[in-house]
Amino acid sequence: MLADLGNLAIMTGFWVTVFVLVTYVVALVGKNDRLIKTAHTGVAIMAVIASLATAILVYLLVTGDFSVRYVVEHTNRALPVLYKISALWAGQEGSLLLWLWLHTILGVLVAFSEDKRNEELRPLASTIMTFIALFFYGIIAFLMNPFERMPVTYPDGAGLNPLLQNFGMIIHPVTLYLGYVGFAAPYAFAVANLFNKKPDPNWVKYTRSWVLAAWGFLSVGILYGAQWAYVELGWGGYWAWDPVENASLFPWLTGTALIHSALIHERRKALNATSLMLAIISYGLCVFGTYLTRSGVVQSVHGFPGIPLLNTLFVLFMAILVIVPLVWLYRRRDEYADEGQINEFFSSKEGTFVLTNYIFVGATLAILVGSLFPLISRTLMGNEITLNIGYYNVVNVPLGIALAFLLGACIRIAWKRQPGEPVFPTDFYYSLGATGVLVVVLYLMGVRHIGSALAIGSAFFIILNLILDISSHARIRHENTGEGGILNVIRSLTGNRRRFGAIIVHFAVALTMIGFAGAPFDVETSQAVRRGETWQVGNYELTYQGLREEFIHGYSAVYATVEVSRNGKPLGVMKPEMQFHRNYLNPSAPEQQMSEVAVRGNLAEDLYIILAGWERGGETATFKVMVNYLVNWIWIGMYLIAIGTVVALWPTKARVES
Amino acid sequence: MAMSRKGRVGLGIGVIVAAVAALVYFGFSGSNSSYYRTVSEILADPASFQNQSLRISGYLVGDSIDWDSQNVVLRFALAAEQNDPSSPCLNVVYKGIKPNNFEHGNEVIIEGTMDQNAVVTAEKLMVKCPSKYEEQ
Repeated sequence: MLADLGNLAIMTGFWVTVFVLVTYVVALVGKNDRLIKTAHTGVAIMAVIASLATAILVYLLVTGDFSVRYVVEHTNRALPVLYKISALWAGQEGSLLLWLWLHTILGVLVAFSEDKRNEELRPLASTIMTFIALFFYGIIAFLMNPFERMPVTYPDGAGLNPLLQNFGMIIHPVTLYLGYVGFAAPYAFAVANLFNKKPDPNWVKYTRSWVLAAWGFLSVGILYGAQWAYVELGWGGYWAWDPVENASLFPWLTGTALIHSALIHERRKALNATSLMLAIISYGLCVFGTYLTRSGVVQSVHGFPGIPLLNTLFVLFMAILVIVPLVWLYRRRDEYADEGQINEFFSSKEGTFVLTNYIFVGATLAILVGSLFPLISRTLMGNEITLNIGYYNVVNVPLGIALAFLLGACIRIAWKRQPGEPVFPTDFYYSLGATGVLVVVLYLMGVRHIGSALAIGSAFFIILNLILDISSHARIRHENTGEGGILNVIRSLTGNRRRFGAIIVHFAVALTMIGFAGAPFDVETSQAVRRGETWQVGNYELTYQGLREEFIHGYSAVYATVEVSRNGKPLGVMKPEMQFHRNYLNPSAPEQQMSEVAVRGNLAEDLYIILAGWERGGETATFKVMVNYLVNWIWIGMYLIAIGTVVALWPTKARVES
Repeated sequence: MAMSRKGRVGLGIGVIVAAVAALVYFGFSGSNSSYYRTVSEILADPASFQNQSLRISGYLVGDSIDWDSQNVVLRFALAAEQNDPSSPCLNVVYKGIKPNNFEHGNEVIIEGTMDQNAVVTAEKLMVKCPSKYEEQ
């Protein structure tokens, strides 16, 4: 009954969207402002309908209406309410509805943004947002309907995959989607700008907060996904360069480039066409990412089974999204040419920005080629060839380190340099020297991996130059205001929130680099031990004390008790676990096994224990034990990126920028 | 500074493009790439795939799973077709622990090399999650 209402909502939503799109076009062609107001109201109705449909699906999931296919396939009675709600994005149909819902809300924010600066482009941008909404309404209504009924009502559902029953799986998809969807707003304004009679050079200013917000969500979404993989998938790593993982990285890389080129556009009136292109490509890559996940074109450990018609529609949609605006940009390239120009390539702030952007785009292309290489080689050579982690490391480790060093240098180049003034202050060269010494010392002290030593060195270099930059700003403020001490430093930071936010994010990048540097030194062992036996992994001594079984609602769990000490100092007991989940839809099917790892760690290292099996009732048990170095720095970096983005976005009173 | 502004910009871009291209080129070399094959392709002519770096996908045969936890060796067979008992199988040995989701009928992707007895020694083992499991 309620499912029928959901179905009706989706159908109504689709036709309302058609109507709104037509209204916009008619209004724009006829320059009818009243009709545009009507269309804006239509955008709000689209959002209300999408919200209603989403609410209905959540209600069906929570109350367990097992006459609906989606509810049967993704939940069961025993599932905790939180995971029943999260089943909204556990499947193809539901996650598309979530995307649509978020998109229509964003559509309202765009249509009703009370921003004088975007008044001229807003109707056209809203039209583009509506066009995108139409695509998602259409595929949900006609191809991927989450309200589809089962022929009979089932007594219970199949349940949610136990791997998804984790708090990280609530955060990761939603933040990622907020990022993906968020890039639609800068996209819409960029394209509106291209199709507007008069180019609007100010577009980067009022799209800045959209871009930053989307980028922040995407960053957190990606890192949260990595953390989920680390604690939940039980293979001890956080990133495998799987095509689907890479898919989330594409818009992140081009989005990062967009943030930087938009800043140059704002400051120097240069890189206008580049920024437009990056805004278009970033959203295109967001849609491409979800296509890659859903289509099955490239083999991945993750992902949905492909549906040919849906794939065709996605390809067509992406072609329209990306190719049409880019062709338009090419045709009107003279009108979007830069007023300003970049004079110094290696010795100016904007020059280093351009260099970093080329590296970001270069990395995107290299990862894209890698991810699509099975497809490329199949088409061109008739032989499908896959590239493994080795390829991505060879390409991305040097690029990442180069980027980190460029970042450290870029911080110290002033926006405005007096003629005759040196490019870098003297202490910059000291910081470079100190970094060189650090890298050599690290290497001699046993960090016998040049990539790791350089990564830590680059992090040190970034942090050092951030501190030097903060202190030089504080000094100038002290000279101007006479204020001194720590208050002066704090006020010099908080006085410019955009700069403060950027400092935090770049500091976070440095911490993440430290986290990445640990991976080459990870220790991994798998071995079978008897009850009471003690074995050594790295600096840890582990003693297996036996197995216990526990019944928890919905599944049973067997856990091992392992006493742990480090260099003889007792640390306590760790309990790696193996869970057995029943398939409620098919009780005769074997129980699904899932290992729940035990992790304990600090800033230096994690001890990571997996219970892999046992024999004779636990007389012997097999453990995979890993010591993973520096991993926690990555998660700290993630939280700092979130904080930095919020600081950079925090509204400030209007003030005159230098 | 004899070089023009455009020349310097071009040089900078050129250096980066060349560096990325070189990295991609080096990335392709040697052990970083493997041929993707299906179980049926390999079983059709096993001899021709010996000692090649292979990436193989097939469907796990539940009854074939032999997990020797004492020695940490996992033996199993991959079938060409899902849920088809008559489907020919490829034997795999993996020196590592049994991963999550390692159940009958699930699609498994392995990377490794094949010996003259047509047994594949896998260095990497991945379970493609069933359709129910969908990330993103």
